[in-house]
Amino acid sequence: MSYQQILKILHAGALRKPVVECAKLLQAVCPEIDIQLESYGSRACARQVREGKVVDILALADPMLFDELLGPEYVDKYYIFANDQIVLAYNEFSRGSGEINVKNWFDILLREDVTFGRSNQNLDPCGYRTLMVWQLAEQYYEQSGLFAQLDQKCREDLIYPKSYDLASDVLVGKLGYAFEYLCVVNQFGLKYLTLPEKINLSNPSYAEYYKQATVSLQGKNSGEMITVPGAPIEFAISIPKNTENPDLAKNFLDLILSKKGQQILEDCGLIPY
Amino acid sequence: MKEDLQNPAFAYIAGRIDKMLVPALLYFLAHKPAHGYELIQKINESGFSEIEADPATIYRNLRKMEEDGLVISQWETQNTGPARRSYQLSPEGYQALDYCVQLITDKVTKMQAFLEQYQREVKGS
Repeated sequence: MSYQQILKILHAGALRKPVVECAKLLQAVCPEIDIQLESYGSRACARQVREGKVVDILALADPMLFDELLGPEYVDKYYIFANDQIVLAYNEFSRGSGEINVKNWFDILLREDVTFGRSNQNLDPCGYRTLMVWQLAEQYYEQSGLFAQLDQKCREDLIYPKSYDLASDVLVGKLGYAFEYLCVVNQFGLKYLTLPEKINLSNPSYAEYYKQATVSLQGKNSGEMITVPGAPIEFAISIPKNTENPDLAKNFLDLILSKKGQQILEDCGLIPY
Repeated sequence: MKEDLQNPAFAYIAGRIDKMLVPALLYFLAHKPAHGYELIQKINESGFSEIEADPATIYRNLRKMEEDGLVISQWETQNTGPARRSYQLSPEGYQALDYCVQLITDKVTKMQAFLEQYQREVKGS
């Protein structure tokens, strides 16, 4: 009796394209396997594993989640494999996009007829990183009260479960602007504004500086709150301890960490390690 | 020196020596193996490089240096916890660092001569 091996991959929405590309490569070499992909915000992914979901590969948008939510019960080793930055995504019809620049973006976002979104900080690292960017921007631009103004204007209905969905709504014009990872912006072919390195959470040289920004999040247990400090944006991948297909999972992991994987990551707009 | 330029890796270094990024990477890796995250911090703290050491630039250079055989990378793994790709100098990398030092020394000699001539002939001291 033959049976089909299944490789279950749970990943951050932001990693959709590189994960799909690597899955296609693996499928080409092993056509007999069934590769099943699911994506959510990374905190939501980690919570699902904690709640008993069994997957063979877990790829998240923040290495901290492995320590905070998964180690050592669910994951013992994880590979930090790429870097990214937060940018402000928009489309050619976004209001004010013809005049937006690195000095005036917050003034444009605060205009009455402009909408912008972010992802939910309790589900998706892009959400808490956006809140950190706003805090750092208040200091960088010496605009007292900027964080509160941006936070107030970004209403509940403009807070999405994952960053990938934000990009899709910017693309179709449902949303004017969104705070996004550069890799997601590249995957959707959106226009974007690069923010200063001191606030875009990209550069390890500013690791200490980024720590000034902090966000409170729902912790591991119900009702518990934790404070997360700012840090350079990195992505990490792991084979959870309860994988049902360790050999297949290892093949996928080796592929994404290989030279070929590095090229795929770079083509998708990430900075591979 | 001309023989060195026949090596594509050395020719690449010679063409970019003014930027000082590759010499700085080789220099820090000669001390001890390191991962990119650490190298970005060290290069920016040192001020050796004439160009901004952003992550994209550093990792692209490290990959190029690996393709050219100057560095070797491997995943630095413990039994548990985070793993990062770590880079170390190959024997050819040490030769490349010596080559950088030779290029820099030549440049410094020429610049010193310029300054001395300027002081003597323009400032009259």
